[in-house]
Amino acid sequence: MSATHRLVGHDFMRKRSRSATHYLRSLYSWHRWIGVLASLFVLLLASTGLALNHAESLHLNQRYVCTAWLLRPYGLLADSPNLGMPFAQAWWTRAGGWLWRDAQALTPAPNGSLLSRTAEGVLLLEPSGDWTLFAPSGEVLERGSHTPAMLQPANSPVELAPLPGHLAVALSRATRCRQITWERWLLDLHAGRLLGLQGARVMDAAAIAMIVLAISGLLLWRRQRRRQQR
Amino acid sequence: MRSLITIILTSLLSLPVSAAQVYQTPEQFVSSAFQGKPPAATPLWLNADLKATAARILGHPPQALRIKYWRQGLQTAWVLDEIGRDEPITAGFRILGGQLQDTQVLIFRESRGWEIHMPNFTRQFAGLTLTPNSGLSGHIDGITGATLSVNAMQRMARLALYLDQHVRNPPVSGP
Repeated sequence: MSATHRLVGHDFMRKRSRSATHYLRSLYSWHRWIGVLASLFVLLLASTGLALNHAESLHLNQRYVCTAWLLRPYGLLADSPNLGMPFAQAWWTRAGGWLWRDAQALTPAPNGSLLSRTAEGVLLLEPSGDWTLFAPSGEVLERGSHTPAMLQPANSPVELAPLPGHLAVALSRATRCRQITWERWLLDLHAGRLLGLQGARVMDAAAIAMIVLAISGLLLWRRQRRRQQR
Repeated sequence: MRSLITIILTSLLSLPVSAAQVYQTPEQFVSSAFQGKPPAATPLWLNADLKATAARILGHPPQALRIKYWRQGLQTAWVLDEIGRDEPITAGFRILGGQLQDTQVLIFRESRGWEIHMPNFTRQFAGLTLTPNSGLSGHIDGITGATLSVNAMQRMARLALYLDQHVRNPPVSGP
């Protein structure tokens, strides 16, 4: 091989080596900055994911969010009931999708549910045909489905009356605290939906950033390994 | 081509069901359990002992103070509700001499797991009795994708057998 050829070859190898070093530095730089930006999202996704994985044991689907600013993204309007059914020294009200005895939530009561008095207590009949019979104390006497014939509601029509002022206020607040479970809230936070469509897009971008991190990390690891082997 | 059709059909069969499926109303089940002439329903009030054992069987306190049942001689019929994943499953149990004779899913409200209403699943309960530790005397094969519904059916079967035992052999109270 002539001296010229050797020089050209050497030059080529130096340029190639410089190019590889530049590529590696760029990769490190990108990996570092994407990592810093994505770290907050990693923390958020990991912690909400961990909580959601244990939603049942933490009873997150039975506990409700009550803090006003956490509920703000949902734009919920408080249900302000002003009429209730007086029975056995208590007020029975259907509000916010629940049946209440005074300010105590008893059971979910979907739209279209009917309340009536019976010889034994208060009957809640759901549109599906499922029914619950409550004792005057609010305890569940019996539950059933598709068996209205087995239960004889009182023939007297339900008389609704205006709720006492303090109870109406308490119910208005209480109904707000019975709409969004912690499980629902964490799911929406995890998916970015709390900030609407933009939030979901931000989470998409974070997910793509993590994919890029994983790939760049693998490439860096592979390069490093090759260097060590040389 | 045949395998493609099989895959498509299987996928369609495993699509989630959205509304409550009523296979049989509780009245129809009770009527058929007693050949069209059911006796009057009797309420069983859950005292402290019954509540405690029921809570142990179900894994949670029972949801009502009393449960209705129908009895004629050695035969009893029970209609019970238990939550599978999120929604209650209504099931009927006919018991004769402490042995399960007939087990039916009456109303299914979940979006998945409806396969438990099929006879090849419910037939497994026939002939089972209650063991001394309130378990079932035989093994029940599960269904993939319906684990929670299968578990709910087993809990209800155990509870029905336990309550049947109680009503036919009530504990004797002291003087």
